[in-house]
Amino acid sequence: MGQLWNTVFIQPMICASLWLYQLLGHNFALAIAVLTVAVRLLTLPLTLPAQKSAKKQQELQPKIQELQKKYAKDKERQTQELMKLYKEEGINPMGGCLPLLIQLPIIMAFYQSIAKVLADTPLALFSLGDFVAGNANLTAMIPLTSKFLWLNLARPDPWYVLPVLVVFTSWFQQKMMTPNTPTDPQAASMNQTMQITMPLMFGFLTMQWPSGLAIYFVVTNIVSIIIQFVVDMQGGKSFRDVFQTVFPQLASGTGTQDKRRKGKR
Amino acid sequence: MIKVLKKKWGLLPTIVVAVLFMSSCGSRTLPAASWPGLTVSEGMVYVALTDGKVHALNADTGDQKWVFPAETGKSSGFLGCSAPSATEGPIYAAPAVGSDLVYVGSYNGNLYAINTVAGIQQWNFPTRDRIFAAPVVISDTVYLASSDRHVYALDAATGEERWPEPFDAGDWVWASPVVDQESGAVYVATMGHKVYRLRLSDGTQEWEFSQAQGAVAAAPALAGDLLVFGSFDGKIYAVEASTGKQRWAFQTGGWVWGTPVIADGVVYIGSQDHNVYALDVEDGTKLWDFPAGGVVRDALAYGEGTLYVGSEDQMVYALDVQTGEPKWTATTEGRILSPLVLTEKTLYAAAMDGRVYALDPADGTQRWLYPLPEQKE
Repeated sequence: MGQLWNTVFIQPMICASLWLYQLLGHNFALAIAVLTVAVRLLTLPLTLPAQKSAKKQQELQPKIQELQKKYAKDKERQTQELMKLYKEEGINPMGGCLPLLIQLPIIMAFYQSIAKVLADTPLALFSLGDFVAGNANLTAMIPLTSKFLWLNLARPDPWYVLPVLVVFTSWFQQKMMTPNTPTDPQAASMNQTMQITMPLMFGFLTMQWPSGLAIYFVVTNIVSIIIQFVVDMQGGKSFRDVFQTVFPQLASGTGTQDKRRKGKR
Repeated sequence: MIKVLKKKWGLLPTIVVAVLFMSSCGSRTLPAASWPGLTVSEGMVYVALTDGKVHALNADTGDQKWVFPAETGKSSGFLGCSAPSATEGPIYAAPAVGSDLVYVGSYNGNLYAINTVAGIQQWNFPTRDRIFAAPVVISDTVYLASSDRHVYALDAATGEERWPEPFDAGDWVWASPVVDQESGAVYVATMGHKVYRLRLSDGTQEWEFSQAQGAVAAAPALAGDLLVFGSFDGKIYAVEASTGKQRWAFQTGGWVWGTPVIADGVVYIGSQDHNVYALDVEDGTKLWDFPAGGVVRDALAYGEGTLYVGSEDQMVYALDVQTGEPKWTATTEGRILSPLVLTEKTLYAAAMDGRVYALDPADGTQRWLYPLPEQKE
C-alpha cells in the first residue's frame, strides 16, 4: 500500500517540484508557490461543486431557519421539509463531501512531497534517494538551495512571519467559507470557535514545520480565498458586496463612517 | 475577532492553551532521527546511538561504562513539550577517540570533548550549524566538518582553533575530512558536488575536483596517490591525490553514499542500487558485484579475505573477497546504515533499532547485544 502511494502520488509530485525548481532558477519557494497554484487549479473540478453547494446553502439560510422554527417540535417533519427544500433548489447536502474527500490524497501527497524534497538531514535525504536516485537530472539538484529571503525553507521561520500569515489567511478563508447566518445558536458558537482555534492551530504547527510547508499553507489559503470570491461573485455581485457579506461588522462600520462623513458635510 | 473574543468568554481557555503551547515549545523544532556511529579503541566501544547519547561499553562484554549525557535525555516538559538533552538532539557521527578524550559532533552544532574515563564533558566547540560528520583526531589536532560549510582544525586538548581561519567549502560538509600526514594534506568532500585538497598546516586550498554531478556525502578513501570516493550521481571516482586529476570513474545504478574500503588493490563500495561492488583500484574494472537485500550505504569492513557488509535489509553478510560469494549471514532487528567495525575478535554493527550487535567474524554468531531487550524497555 505504501509503495503504491509513493508510486502514484509522491513520486510524481517530487519530480514535478524538482522540475519546477530547475525551471524557476533554483528557487524552491517559487516552485512551491507555482505547484500549489497548479494543484489547486487541477483539483478545481473537485472543489468547485462543494463551494457552490455551500454558497447555495448560505443563500437558503433564511428559508431553512423559517422551516426550523415552523417545525421546531416535529423533528421528523422538519427533516422532510428541509430535504424537500434542498431537492427543489437542486442541492445535495452531502454533495460537497465526496469531491473534497477525493482531493484529500492529492493535497496530502503534495504536502508530503514538499517535506521530503526539503530534506536537510542525512536520514531525510537517504529517504529522498528512493524517489530520485534513478534520475540523473534530479539527482544533480540534490540537495536543494533552500535559502529564500530570510528563510531556510527546510527549517521553521525564525521571525514567525509565515505562521502569522498562515493564521491570518486561514482565518480569512474560514470566515469566507462559514455562513454568517447559522441555523442555531449552538452552531453559531461552534463556527466562531472553529474560526479562531483552527487558524491558531495551523499557526502553531507552522511554527514547528519547515517554512517551505508554511509557504504552501499561505499560498493554498490565498488560492482558496480567491476561488471563494469568484464563486460568491457569480450572479452579478461586486467584490465589495461579497466583502460586506463576509464581514458585515466591517461593512456596517464603514457605513456608519460614511454617514458620519456625510453628516459633517 | 476581538468582538468575538469579548462575546465568547468560553473561547478564552482554548486561546490560553494555544498561546501557552506556542510560548512553551513553539520555538523548538522537533529533533530528527539519526543513524548510529561506532568506534572501537583500547578495549572500549564508543557508540552514538539513535537515542542521541554516547555510550561507552566494554568491547569484550558489552557492559556499559558510562553514558553521555548522563542525565535522562529528555524530561517531559509542560504540555508534553520536551526539555532539551545536553546534546539537543540526535548524533549522526561516530565518536573519535584521542589520547584521553572522546570527540563527538552533535545535531546542535557543538563538538563535545568527553573524558574517556568518566564520560564527563571537558570542553565544547560550537559551529554555526549541525554536525553530521565524524571528527578526525590526528596526534593533537581534531579536524571537524560542519553543515555550516566550514572545516575546522582544533587543538585536541583545549578546542582552540589551529588554522588562521576555518576552510570555507561553500556548501554543507557531511563527510569526515581525510587527513594524510605524509603528504601534508586534508581532503574534504562536500554536498556541493566538490572535493578539495587543503594544506594540512593552515587549511588553504590546493586543488578542487568538480566533475562529480552529485553530492559527495561520505569521506573519500586514500590508497597511495589515489583518492576514491562515491557520489550521488551513482559514480565512483578515482582521482590523483596530488593533482586532483580524474583517473577513472565507475557507474553504479544508484546513489553512492559510503566510504570505499580499499585492500589488496581492490576497491569495495556499496550503492543505493543494493549492490556491493569490487573494482580494480588501477582502472576501475569491475571484478564482481554482490546483490544485498537492501541499500548498502556505508556499512563495510574488511578483514582476512572477508568483506563484511551491513545492509538496509537488516542483514550482515560476510563475503569472500575473491568471488563475492557469501560465507555466512547474520540477522539483526534494525537497518544497518552505519560503518561496521572489525577488531581481531569481534565485528561490531550498530543498527537502526538502537542496538549494538557484537558478532563473531568467523561465523556471525552473536557475542553480545547492547542494550539487552529488558534494558531497552
